[in-house]
Parts: sequence; structure tokens; C-alpha cells
Amino acid sequence: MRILKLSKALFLNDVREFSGFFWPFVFPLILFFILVSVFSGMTSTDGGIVFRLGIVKEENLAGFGTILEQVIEQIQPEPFQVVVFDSLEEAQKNLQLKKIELVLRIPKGLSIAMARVILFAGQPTKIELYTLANSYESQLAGKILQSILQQVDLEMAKQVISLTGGEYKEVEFVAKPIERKKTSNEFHYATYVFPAVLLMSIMSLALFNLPLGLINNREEWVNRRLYTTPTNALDYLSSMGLSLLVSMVISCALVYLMGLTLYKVNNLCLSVGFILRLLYSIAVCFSVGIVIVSFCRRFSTALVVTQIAYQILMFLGGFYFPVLNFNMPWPIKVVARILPTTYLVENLRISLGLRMYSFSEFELWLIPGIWILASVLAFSFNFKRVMGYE
Amino acid sequence: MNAITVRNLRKYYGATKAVDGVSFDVPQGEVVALLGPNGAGKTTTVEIIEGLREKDDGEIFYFEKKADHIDKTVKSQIGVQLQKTAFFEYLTVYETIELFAGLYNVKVQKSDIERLMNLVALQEKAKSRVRTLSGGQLQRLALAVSLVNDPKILFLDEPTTGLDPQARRHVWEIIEQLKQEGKTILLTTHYMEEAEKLADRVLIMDHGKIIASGTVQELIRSIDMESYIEFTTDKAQILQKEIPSLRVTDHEKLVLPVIDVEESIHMLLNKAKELAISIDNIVIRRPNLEDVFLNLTGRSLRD
Repeated sequence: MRILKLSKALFLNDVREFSGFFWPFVFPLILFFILVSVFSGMTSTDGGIVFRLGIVKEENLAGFGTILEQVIEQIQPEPFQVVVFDSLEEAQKNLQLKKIELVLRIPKGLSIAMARVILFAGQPTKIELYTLANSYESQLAGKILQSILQQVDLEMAKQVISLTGGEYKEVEFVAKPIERKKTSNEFHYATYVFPAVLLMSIMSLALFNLPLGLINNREEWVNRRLYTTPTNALDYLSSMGLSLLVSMVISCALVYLMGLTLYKVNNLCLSVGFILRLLYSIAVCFSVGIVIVSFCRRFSTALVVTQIAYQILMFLGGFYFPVLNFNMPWPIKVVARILPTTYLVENLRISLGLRMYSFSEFELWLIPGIWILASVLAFSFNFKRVMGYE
Repeated sequence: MNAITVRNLRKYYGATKAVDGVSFDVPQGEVVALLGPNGAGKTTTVEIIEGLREKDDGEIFYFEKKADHIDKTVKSQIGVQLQKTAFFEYLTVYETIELFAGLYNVKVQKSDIERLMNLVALQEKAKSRVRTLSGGQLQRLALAVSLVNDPKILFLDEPTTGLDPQARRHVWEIIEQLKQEGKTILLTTHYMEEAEKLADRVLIMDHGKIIASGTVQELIRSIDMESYIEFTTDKAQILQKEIPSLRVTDHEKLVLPVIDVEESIHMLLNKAKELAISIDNIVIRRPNLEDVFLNLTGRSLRD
């Protein structure tokens, strides 16, 4: 009863303050909105400037064929980023998964065919272009590549006429749109960022409100005032934990509401598995909060440490982009591998059908678990000091 | 029956003896003031008794029952007003009193809370948030909160420090009312007027020790002085050399303890004339607790 009353008071005291209301309840929604508005648009067009072109070379170009090779070199890195594939099947698979926008197939015998066209006015050469049906960027990429190659055609025609006075037959482009392959773990940015926004809102309460609240109440003698009553340090800590848990639930509920109604986040976020992982994340975030309060004696120190820890845990933890998949300096990768948030956000994403890293199930639970154990140990050694109990 | 008994209480912080063998009794229904300058060890003493600090040595008895550890049972019988008032800033006055009642597991009705607010004259501030209260109103809220469990013993630590004279008088009135209701009160203060006005018994504390105790009259009588002559002069040092019993107060006044007022006045004026020193603002007054402290320690309470 005592704990419930104190929790209620702590909760009201927090939410009645503007920052206590804004950061846990309003800011996550704003961030969610901004992230989805900015980045989900960019993933569908991928910037709109650089297209990923898959090339399947069935022969090494030689003679007149090198003209095409030179053209391909000149269109890089913009507007095309070239990825070479060994087989057409592999390239088409990547196209279907939207990993590339376009496939250019250079068939066997192209060099000879081109020489025939130029020197003897033979049959026109065929180059196959594969685009993705119903994909604006894929169609656009195909048209851009065609127009570039047509310019090359014109140049070659001029050369043929000037050299032989003969007729030049243009390269025939065979555009073959193919259907996009639907996969169960199709990338949906709102679903990708949903666990990150949830964790961010949990962290803002566990990392800011918990340690800063404890230190502030200690410095201001609020907890001393409580200890004059039959309330002890454990009652006080439990009340603070309960009050923050209520705030976290409300904060998460708001993010859920926005995610499910506005951004059609994967319904798997309502599954028991996802919610269990979320509860585990709450426990881990609390543990990070108590580590900070165990080592920071002053409010100002804790504020600085919390800010730094918060940013590191978010960005290196891979909340908004998969850090470990980028070419980062190794120390950053080591830090990212140590952070509990790397595993928490990945674990949540996996339960939504998205996998960014190749962590084992064991790692996903163990490393955050080690954080909990170490934090509880550090906190128990500093319990009396932290709680202001002499 | 003694509500509180303290025997040989000690609390050391390294080489600093914050509380150094303190023993005293607080009889039930009395107001006892622990008087001393800042840093004398008053707050440490009461915080040990309240259970906020751990003692190094000594014994504490509540109603003749030894309390090795100040547990929930003891805490539910006492009310505490700390030196620094600290509450949740965004709760209202009403909610704060209600919260503390809940912390004592006391079921309170709206009328009980209103009665407490009336007692401390905060009924008009019932819906005001704590952060908007003035210093005096905060102290009164602290008093109301300390009474929420209807305690048998009340600890008031510097209840009027930092308040203006009007707010201080208001708090004194409330304490006098509580005294009339029969509450046992242990009051710590460095204001001798407060101790003189409110306390049945006074314990004078300095450097972690109780250096004198008794009723106000007993303590004053103990210094064997009838009166004090206070005055100002521009050449205090010269005069002090001639009259060694002269002391300087914190208001830069000179104080002369005397038994025979008439004879002493003559002596003082003759000396001033002889040394060509002017003397102004002469006041003859009865001795007070400040003089007792000065007599015992050679220092002022405000030093």
C-alpha cells in the first residue's frame, strides 16, 4: 500500500513537470514520425540519384565490345552503381528483392556481333535489360540506361558511316520487366524502426528519470524526508521503479498506437514473444540506469554521463542503422558488440521478422543478461550511498 | 516517564567528534530545546534519534524501551520536521499531506487533512503546488506533515530558520498550541529567543557535547549575574584592556555582566571620561540564554 501511494506521488510529480511529460510521452511519437517520414521515403527511391545496376557478363568484351565496357565505366559511380553477377538467375533474384534496380545482360558473342554490325552491317545486336515491374525507380533506371546506350549507338553509327559509308543497325534493347518477389521478411521501415523507438522511450525513462531522480531527491533531501516515516530505502526504490514502469507502459502504448494505426507496423509486435522481449529490455535498461547512479555522486556528473551513455546506446546500438553491417573502425564495432542495446533491438526486430545481424539466440539473451547481473552487483555495493541512507 | 532517554551517544566522522558522549532525557509532554551554534552537533544528535543516521556508540530509549534500531514501530510514533524542508514539488499541499498519511499507513478522511491544514493556516493553499509556496508556508506544511500520524513525540529541527519575524511568530504559535495538546517536543534551534519562548527545559550543546542543561531560569541563575550593561563605543579595544570582563557581541556591542548595576555604571562612565572615550546607546537588561552561552564558551551563539 505504502509503495503504491509513493509510486502514485512520484508518477504525478514527474508527469506534471513539462520535461517529465514531453520526453517520455511526446518525443518518441515525434521521433517516430520524423524517422518514418524521412527514411521510409528514401528507401523506396534510394535517394533517386544512384541506381544499382546488376551486370551479367557472359563473355569478356573485346574489340568493338570494349566500347560498351568504356560506357559502363563512365556511368559509374553516378547515376549507376554497378554490381557484377555471375549468373542471370542470381541477378534476377537480387532484382526481385529490390537490392538492385536493373539488370543488364551482356550475352555471349556480343563482341563479335558488334564487329559484324560495324564492319559488315550484319544483324542488330541484342542486349537484354531486366527491370522490376511496377517499380518506378526500376523503370526509370531502365530508361536512363537505354538513353545512354542510344547515344553510344549514334556515335558508333557516325563512325561506321565515316569509316565505311555503310549502314549501321542499332543495338536492339529487349526490356524484360519481371515481377517483384514477395518475401515474409520484406523490409518495412516503420517496422524496422518501431523497436528502436520503443527502446528509446524506455531508455529515456530508465537512464534519465531513474538515476537523475534518485540523485536529485538525495541532494534535495526528499528521500531523507521519506525515511523519517516507516518508508525504507527499498520501499522508495520499488516505488520509483513502479512509477517508471507505469510511465514506460504508457509511453510504449502510445508508440504502439501510432505504429499500428498510422504506419501499419507488423502485427507481430502484439505477440507474446515480442512483449516478453520488450519486458526483458525494460529490465536491462533499468540495470543501465542503476549502474549510472552507482558511480555518479553528483547530479551534474550524472547528467553528463547519462547523455553520453544514451547517445552511445542508441546510435552504436544500431537503433536507426545497422552499425555492424557498415565499414566502421574496429573499436566502434567492439563497443557496439558490448552494448546491451545492440542485442535488445536486434532481438525485438527478429521477433518482427527482420534480422540485421547474425547473432545466435544465445548471444541475444546472454549479453544483456550479463549487464543486468553486473549492474545489480555494482548497485548493491553502493546501495546505502545511492539511496541516501547513511 | 521519559519519552526519550539518550545515554552516552557518540558519532565520529574521522577525527571530527560530531556527537561526543551526549546524555539527556526528554520527559513526556515537555518541550525540550537543544540550543547551540551551527555545527554544535544538534542535528546529528536528533537524526540519530530519528533513525536517519547510525550511531557509533550509546543507547536510545523510547518510553523507557531500548531502541537499538529505529524501526518502523518507532517511526510510526514520531513526527519529524527536518532542518531542510523537501517535498515533491509538483504535488499540491493536500496531496502531500495525503501522501504522508499513506506512508504511515494512516487512513485519513478529507476532514482530517483539512483540520491539519487549518492548524497550520494553509487551508487556502490546499490546491497549490508545493513549488509555489513561500519559505514560511513550506515550514508550516512540514509541520502539518510531521503531525499526520498524530505522533507522541515531535522532532522539530530548526523550524524557523530562514523565516521572517512574522512567519517565525506564526510557527511559534503552532508549536505552543501543540505543547498545550500535550505533545512531547524535541526542538533544535540556534535562536535563544525561540528556546526561551517555547522550551520547558534547555540543553545547551557545543562541539558535540551538552555543556549545560536546565530550565531557562535555572540556566540564567547559574551565571550569577543580575544584569548586563550593553553599549557601543568607537574605542572598544582600549576599554576592553581596562575592563577585562567586557565582551563584544556579534552586533559589535560591548556587554558588561554586573551584579550591582548602579556601582558598575559609575565605574564605566568614570573610566570612559578618564580615557576620553565616548559611550553611546547604553542599555541595561536582564541576562538571557545568549549570556549563558557566552559565559560558558566565551563565544556568541551566532559565532
